[in-house]
Amino acid sequence: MARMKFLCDADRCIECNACVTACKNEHDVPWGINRRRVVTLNDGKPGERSVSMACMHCTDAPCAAVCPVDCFYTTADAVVLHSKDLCIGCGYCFYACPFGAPQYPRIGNFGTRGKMDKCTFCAGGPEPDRSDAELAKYGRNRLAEGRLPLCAEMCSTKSLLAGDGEVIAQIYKERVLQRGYGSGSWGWQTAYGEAVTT
Amino acid sequence: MNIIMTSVVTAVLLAAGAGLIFSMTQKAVYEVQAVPSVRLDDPGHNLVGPDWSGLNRTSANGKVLRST
Amino acid sequence: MRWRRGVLATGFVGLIILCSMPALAQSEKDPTIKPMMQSLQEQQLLKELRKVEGRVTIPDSKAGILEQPQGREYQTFHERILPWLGAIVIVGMLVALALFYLVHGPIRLERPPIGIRIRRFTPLERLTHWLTATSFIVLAITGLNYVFGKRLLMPLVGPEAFSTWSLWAKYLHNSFAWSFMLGLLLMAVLWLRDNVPDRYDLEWLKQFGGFLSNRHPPARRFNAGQKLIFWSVVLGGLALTASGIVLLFPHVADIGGIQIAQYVHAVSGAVMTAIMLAHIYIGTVGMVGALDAMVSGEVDLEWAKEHHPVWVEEEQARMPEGQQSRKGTILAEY
Repeated sequence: MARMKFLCDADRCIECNACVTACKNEHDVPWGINRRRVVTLNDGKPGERSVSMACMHCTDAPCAAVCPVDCFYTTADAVVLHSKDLCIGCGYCFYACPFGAPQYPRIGNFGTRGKMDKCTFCAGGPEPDRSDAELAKYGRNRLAEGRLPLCAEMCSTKSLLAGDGEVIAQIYKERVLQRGYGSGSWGWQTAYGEAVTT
Repeated sequence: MNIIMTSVVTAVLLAAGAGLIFSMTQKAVYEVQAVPSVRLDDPGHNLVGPDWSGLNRTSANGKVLRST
Repeated sequence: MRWRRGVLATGFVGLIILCSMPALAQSEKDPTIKPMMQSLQEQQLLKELRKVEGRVTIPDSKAGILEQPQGREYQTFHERILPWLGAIVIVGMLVALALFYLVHGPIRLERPPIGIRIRRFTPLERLTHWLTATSFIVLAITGLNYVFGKRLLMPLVGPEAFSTWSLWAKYLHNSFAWSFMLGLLLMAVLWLRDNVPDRYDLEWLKQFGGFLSNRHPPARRFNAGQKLIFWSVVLGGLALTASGIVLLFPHVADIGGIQIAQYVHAVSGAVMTAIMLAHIYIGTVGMVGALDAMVSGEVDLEWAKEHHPVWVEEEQARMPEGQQSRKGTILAEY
């Protein structure tokens, strides 16, 4: 069975934000919710790197562990999803997530955040696959159509890879060998407990 | 016993009041984090104009009419 | 003119070859040239700064934090340490109280009640106490639900019902926090003076309040045990208030600050719940006549003389029989 992962090749990412736009468009993500974002490190200085970051679908996901109502579940593909019906908007998953993936639609005093929203690996949610309810709450379910996440598909430099962890690790390793450099698989150590060794 | 009932009622009133006051300050994320480049109003009022048809309407003397 | 064209062509080709010399050199992959040596290394950043942060083009500034691996530490604390800590502290206290009750029983009067009542708590003091107590009970139950709810309650009622209950528990917790804070403030103002340590406290503590020896160390209005409760409530409540405010208004702190506020709030909450269980025990079944003090505001004179003899002396010295003092203490036939 495939174990789905994301890998953003920081040396190829040009901060074009096509992944961000694709995700927002495909899932009709409301204003203010940022499922995917591009973070630029050392902006304007030598060694500038950009990394596209959304939910990493971690092994032993911290968000799932700390949820007080246990609204998370992991699919057979190791995609971490949650149920917006059970979510109480407490915010614990955001405190626990190393990558800041959980997003909330409301802000302001008193901390009532609304239902949590996050990257679903284009795999929808607990509603029936490709139903209207699933589309309204979680966005498109591309995995049920046999496709991969749109962010990686739309990446202009193919820096963002999404798919089976073994396959994309291999692609990245070959890249690094071919060109002679690579700043590593950002987030893999924290998310999956193992970085891609090159 | 009376004093206990009074204090329970007081607690409930205070709690409900606080809840009401603070829920009024709740805002959607897109309101709080909007930047000037983000339009929050009806696109018909922006500078480009509501007419996206691409057909420039002209007046009698050939001048192109724009919406103000 | 054809030779000129030949020279030009040769020169052009030569120029191309010349320009491609550096490329040719690179394509041999000289291992000493490392074009990305200045590139950032994730583990190095994490080691130095404990987080990886950059710039984003969206208005949400906290999205600039790429990675904060201490989220995993939060997970460890919240799911492994905290439930055990809370369970041990609370269940341990319950067990200790049950054992004490079974072995020692409630604390009774040595001599029968006199029949004369003396006022111990004014209406305002009692209102404050019960305001704070009601708020604390609601806060404790809803607070414990965050940690233990999914372990203990959800298997019984199912995920949907538990989620609805937890949502309301969250609203209750956020709302009653304010009545608790007000009650706490009033309590501190009303009782600070009587809870300053005095010369009877050390002796009272040395005798462990007479709990185990059945002797009765003297005390003023509040004995050392009560003073410990007062200061636990004030200081513990202060910790809960400060950390709770940070959690209610998350934008005042960064992610690290919120995590620390969570740790403080959870631990203080668990400890305070245990302490309050002991307080509730002694105030209800643990001591005959104690609940009366806080419900009616008056106690039997015999009870007062046995448990707080110095206080009785002070009250009686304050005014002659039948007259009201500033605090409204009445000595009257009941």
